[in-house]
Amino acid sequence: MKNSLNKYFQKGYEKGFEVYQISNSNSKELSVTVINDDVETQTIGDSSAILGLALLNGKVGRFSTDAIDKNTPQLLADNIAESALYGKEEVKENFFDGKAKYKKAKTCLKEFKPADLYELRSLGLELSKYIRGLDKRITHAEINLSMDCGENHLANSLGLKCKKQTKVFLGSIYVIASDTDGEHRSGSCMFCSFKNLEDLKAKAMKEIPTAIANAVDFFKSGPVKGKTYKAVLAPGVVSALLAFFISHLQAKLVQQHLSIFENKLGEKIASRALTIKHTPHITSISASPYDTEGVPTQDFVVIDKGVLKTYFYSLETARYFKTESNGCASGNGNSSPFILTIKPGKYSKEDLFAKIKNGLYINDVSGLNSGIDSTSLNFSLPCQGYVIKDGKKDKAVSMIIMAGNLLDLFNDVSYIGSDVYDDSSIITPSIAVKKLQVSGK
Amino acid sequence: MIIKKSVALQVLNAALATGGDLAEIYYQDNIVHRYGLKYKKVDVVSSSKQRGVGIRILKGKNYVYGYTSDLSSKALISLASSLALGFEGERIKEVKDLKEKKHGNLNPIKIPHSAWTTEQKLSYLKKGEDAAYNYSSKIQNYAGSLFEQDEHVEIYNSSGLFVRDDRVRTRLAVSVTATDGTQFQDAYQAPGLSQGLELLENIDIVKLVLETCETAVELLTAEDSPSGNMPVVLGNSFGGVLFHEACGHPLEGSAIYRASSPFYGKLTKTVASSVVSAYDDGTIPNGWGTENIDDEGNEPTKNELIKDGVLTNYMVDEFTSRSIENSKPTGSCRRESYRFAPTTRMTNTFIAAGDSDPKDIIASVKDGIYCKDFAGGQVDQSTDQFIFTSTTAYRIKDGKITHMIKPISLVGYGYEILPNITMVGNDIARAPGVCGASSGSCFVEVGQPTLLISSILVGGAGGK
Repeated sequence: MKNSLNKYFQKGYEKGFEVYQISNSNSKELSVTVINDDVETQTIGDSSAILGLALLNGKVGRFSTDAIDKNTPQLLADNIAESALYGKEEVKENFFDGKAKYKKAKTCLKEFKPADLYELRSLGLELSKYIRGLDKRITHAEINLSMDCGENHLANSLGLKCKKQTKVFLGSIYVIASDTDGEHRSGSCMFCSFKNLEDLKAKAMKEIPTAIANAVDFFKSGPVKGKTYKAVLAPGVVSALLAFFISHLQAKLVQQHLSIFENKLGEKIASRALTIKHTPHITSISASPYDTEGVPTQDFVVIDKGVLKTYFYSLETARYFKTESNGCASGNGNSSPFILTIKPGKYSKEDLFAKIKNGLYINDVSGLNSGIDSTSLNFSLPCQGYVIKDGKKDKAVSMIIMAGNLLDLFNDVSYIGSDVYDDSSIITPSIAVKKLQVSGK
Repeated sequence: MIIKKSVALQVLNAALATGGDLAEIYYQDNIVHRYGLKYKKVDVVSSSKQRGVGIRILKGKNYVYGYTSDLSSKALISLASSLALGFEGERIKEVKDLKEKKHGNLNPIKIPHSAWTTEQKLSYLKKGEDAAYNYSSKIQNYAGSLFEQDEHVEIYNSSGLFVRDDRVRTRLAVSVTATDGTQFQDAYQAPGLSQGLELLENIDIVKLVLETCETAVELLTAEDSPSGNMPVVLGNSFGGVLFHEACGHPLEGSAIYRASSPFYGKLTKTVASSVVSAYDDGTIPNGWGTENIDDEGNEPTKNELIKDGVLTNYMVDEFTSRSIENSKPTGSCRRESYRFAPTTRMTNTFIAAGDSDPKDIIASVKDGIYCKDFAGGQVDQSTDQFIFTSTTAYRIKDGKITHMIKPISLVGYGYEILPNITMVGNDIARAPGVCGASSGSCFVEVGQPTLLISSILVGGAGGK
């Protein structure tokens, strides 16, 4: 990249760019899909992409492409210059010079042992046979396994120069179970490893029982009576909902008076039971040593016992609020966290059931792409789970809809579990809430 | 030909070395321009160029797929050879020539994207901004954006086919956020077609923005929705997302060939009320989901899926047709980009017009809900459980619309809901959307007339 970078900067210099920033990503992918013991598809992917942005006459222009050859430096400079003619107003201070220490993100471990397509196929077939042997009702077992290796270089004409690598195995399993009456139910799980295929297999084995249970437990299940329930939300459900709640902590939204958390720094915005930290360097595919502006990512407390401690800043919004960027830029002055971790509590899932005594355990939610209004935080989402009766998990429940507002929901948290779930970007245990409106019978 | 014929032949023959029975090269060059105003400023003026090649080899009921952004002949031949190693066997086929297949143009363009300057495009969006902030002091933000796509694709395959297509799309999006100081409410509209800038000339952006503002402000005082099973009137146009989610996806070849769809084996069977007929029609001139050829080179069709409640056809591509008896490709094999292997996807999918007057449909409901605008949805293809969300909805009592309610989700099983459609209006309209599935995000149209579902589960927050 070093030599070619100079060619890009030279073209930018000729155009009169005051600052020129280049982000170059390369990725290689190997993947297989095994369906019912048959290797249905295999994929080999190799691609590069380059994103350039530059400051010209007080405005920013941007252009991206994966058409990379000897003409790309000129193509990039020409298109950026054209886009900057009418682009967003910008200042030089919103570019970072790289003078900082970076903490390494654990996305490329020394233990990583690459695999080839043959090895991926073999593991896929092994998992398929294993799953189909576990329960005769499994009529469809689909295993997707991939090895993704990528790197990103970020540099600018002010001296910024940083790099990160990711080497990871990713897996997902989707099962369909069918009963004798022709009823179909499905379950799925996802897992990853930064080490090797043996480790990926171990992670898969841990998740498979839950995926199968999510299918077979729900035969003949149906709705409960529509009313307000006490509820325990499984980690995957909490993670999905929290992502929307937290989105209102983007400093840009606060700046534009579009956040429900404007002027709430130092105030209680969630239940006292909730403490949330930003942890961008742990082993996760979302980990990164720097944000899209090249500012080092940082560990910090976002919500401490329900009290808001900070927003997520980019250089632009930090300047506006007269503070420092906390390394959360996500492009165009916007910001978002890399990895959030909810501080776990002392209660096991079973303890949480005992605590709420009678209610619902919601272990799956869908429709997130349309069922949550990210502006008002109102939600109306189909979900499934189990009845909690006398403090224990009871019959399965499906075809119900939970509805309400996320601000109310995260203020109604009563207990935090200890069963931490390792999502890629939000690490959370189960939580118990005092009330959840459910539509059903 | 972007890829020289001699190189294309070498690549295809390298791909067939281990017994593949069909090899295909997909070349894509996609230029996208985006212009956006937000919060009283220019938010973005940007462009991107995506260019690369996907190679697919089919052997019976299996396939291998590879992609690269390196277009050198060495890289393409190397990729094809590596992919061929995914199979074991001897060559059964050699391709010696490629001949171009011509096709008609379903998407004539009157005003190319290059005809307007960036300044003209931003001025157009600015008209909406002025209208929004003059509408009410409650309007906190107006975001207007313009999306332009100029895409060129070429397909070469081992049957000797060479075909190319130019795809031009334009979409306008306006979004406003209203606040009363304690809450925020959004409203959004985004018309788009496979057209050039004539789309903008045919839209009154001020009218569009004022309608959007009216909805956002009205939502500030909307009441909570009731919950439970009840009759629901779905408005026309984007209400078609119901059919898209509940029936369109389960009728795609990818769901049928795995026998995982509730509609598997139901051809010629009654699956819907007799007032329901439905189509996936890739031939609609300038339709948002219309392309002159699909991503394996077949021309689109007007595919009748349901006729008077009876299932008449599936949507099928070359790969899935190999596992679905008596089927042939329906010209709807699609992908987001060269990085995705193609599969059967919807194009322009809609429920056909019926006989009822929309006013009579609403008047027939004693206690229910009228859903006017919609956000989108999702379906589990194995169970056919779907969700879709209405962003603008009203209570109906004694045959009359009474008041607005907050956005709601509707949930059900497609195979249960289709028989519950009891009235179909005469006011069909279609709207653009973006559908995400295994071959990435594809541009699709959904559509329907106003219709009545006699009972469906509504997820409200406890209103009356």
